[in-house]
Amino acid sequence: MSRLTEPTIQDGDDITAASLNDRFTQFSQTGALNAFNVRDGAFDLPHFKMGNADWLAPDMAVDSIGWNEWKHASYHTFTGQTTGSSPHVVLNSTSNPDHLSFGPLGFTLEIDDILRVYWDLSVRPRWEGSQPWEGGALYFTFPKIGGGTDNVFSGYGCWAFWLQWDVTDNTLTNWVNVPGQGDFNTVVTGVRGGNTLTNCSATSVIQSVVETGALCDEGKIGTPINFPVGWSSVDGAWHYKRSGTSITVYGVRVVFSGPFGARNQGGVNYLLRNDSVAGSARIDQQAGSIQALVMRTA
Amino acid sequence: MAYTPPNTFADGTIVTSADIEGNEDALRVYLHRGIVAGDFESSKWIQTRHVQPPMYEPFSGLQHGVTGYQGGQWAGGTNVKMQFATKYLSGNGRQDSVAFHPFPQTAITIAVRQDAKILFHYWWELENGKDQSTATYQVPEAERRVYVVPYRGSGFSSGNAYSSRYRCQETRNSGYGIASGYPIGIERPFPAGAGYGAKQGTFGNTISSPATLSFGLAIHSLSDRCGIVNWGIALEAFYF
Repeated sequence: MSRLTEPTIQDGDDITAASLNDRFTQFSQTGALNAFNVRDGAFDLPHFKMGNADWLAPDMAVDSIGWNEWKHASYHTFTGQTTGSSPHVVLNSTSNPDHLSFGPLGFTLEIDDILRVYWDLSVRPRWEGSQPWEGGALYFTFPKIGGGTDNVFSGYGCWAFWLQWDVTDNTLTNWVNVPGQGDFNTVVTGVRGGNTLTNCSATSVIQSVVETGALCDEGKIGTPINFPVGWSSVDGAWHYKRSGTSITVYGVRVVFSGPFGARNQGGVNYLLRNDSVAGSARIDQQAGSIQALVMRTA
Repeated sequence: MAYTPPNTFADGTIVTSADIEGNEDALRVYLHRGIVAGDFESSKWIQTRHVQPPMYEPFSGLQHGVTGYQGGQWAGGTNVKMQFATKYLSGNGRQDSVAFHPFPQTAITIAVRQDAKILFHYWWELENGKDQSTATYQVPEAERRVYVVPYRGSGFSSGNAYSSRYRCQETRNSGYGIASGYPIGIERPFPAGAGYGAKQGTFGNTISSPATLSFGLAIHSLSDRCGIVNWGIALEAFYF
């Protein structure tokens, strides 16, 4: 016990050199301060050690991505992709792949550490030609006022964006999809690839066009009217808790592909490629940001 | 290192007040800033009650404690606080304008007491347009976007919003306008006209020394009217 037990000096007590020294040297007990010496709320911010690797958030990285022409005077344009393709990578102003580096040593995730990644990116989905999505599976067919039927974009057609990381070394040339994320190239039906939604844990999507049936009446539609999505933005948040062993992450990046649509097959929901209309799909890419934070839980 | 009294007393010598006070002064210094890890009992004995409890700041919606800040504000609940964006505060719709105006009520100020890692989260839901005004100096109707961007500084200025403009997230002008006949109002729902934007983002920051910082959202509008139906901000600051 390290509680100070020296009694209070009372009238009539003798004070000797030894007792006086004892009153001060009691505070010199190494490894002895404990709960007996501390009141409730005794520890505040100044008492905590700076640069403590065991603190709540030991590592953080922040950067811009893409080409910062926010008024869109110029931009990068990408064409839709078919099954088997490697995804497009966000390009910077000099057309080089962009990413968020975690520095030469990377960020080490110990067991139960959490990596939190947040990103956003300005993009413009669009199509070449007149309603080309009708050549794929991206529409619903409705009865038309006056007879016959017409097709309206299903609303499920989209471009998908997801995260990759490099856990090999700081050359940042060994990118792989983050855990829980597939590449949309697993064949689901015919030759069309896709992911189950359970394999899309780092995926964000943006609709590829807006179309509505005008003058709807009792389940029938008039002439479909479509609007381009225009310049818009897509964003993502991904949290990963490490288990099993530690791992060092050297960087993360955003990649994208499309066009995709929704499919239910055998009771399983998929995000599925639309290969037949990929050649008509375009997406323009501008700028955004990405940030990552490592958090300790123990 | 552990406390060492600067003065030691010996039998037969005169005790001076300066020596006593000197030991006590040294003890005060030690107890306030001299305790090192080796002075503590090695077993983990510090409990939550030993740590200074956090303070809740109801106006800002933040909680500040030993480990940092957390909390935020939002526009929902029983009193929806709809906000507006307009080109008349950010360049009248000219392509070459780079002005921003504040996104009302989304600013929050914190006194960061130590180096910190900060995440400022934000989201909003807006309905843009339809701006059909005809002034010829403006960008075309389909290009009349509303940009929302986070900023950090000692308060809002168009400059500090501009410095983060790569974080701009934009929504286009609606494709539908006001109906000419009954029922009067927007001709179609905003989602059908592509003028609807529900977006969110996160602004990461590393602060290397104590500072008083404001975080908030700013707007560059190329459209005459944009209703921001809902919004929310949240902040996490982790010391060290």
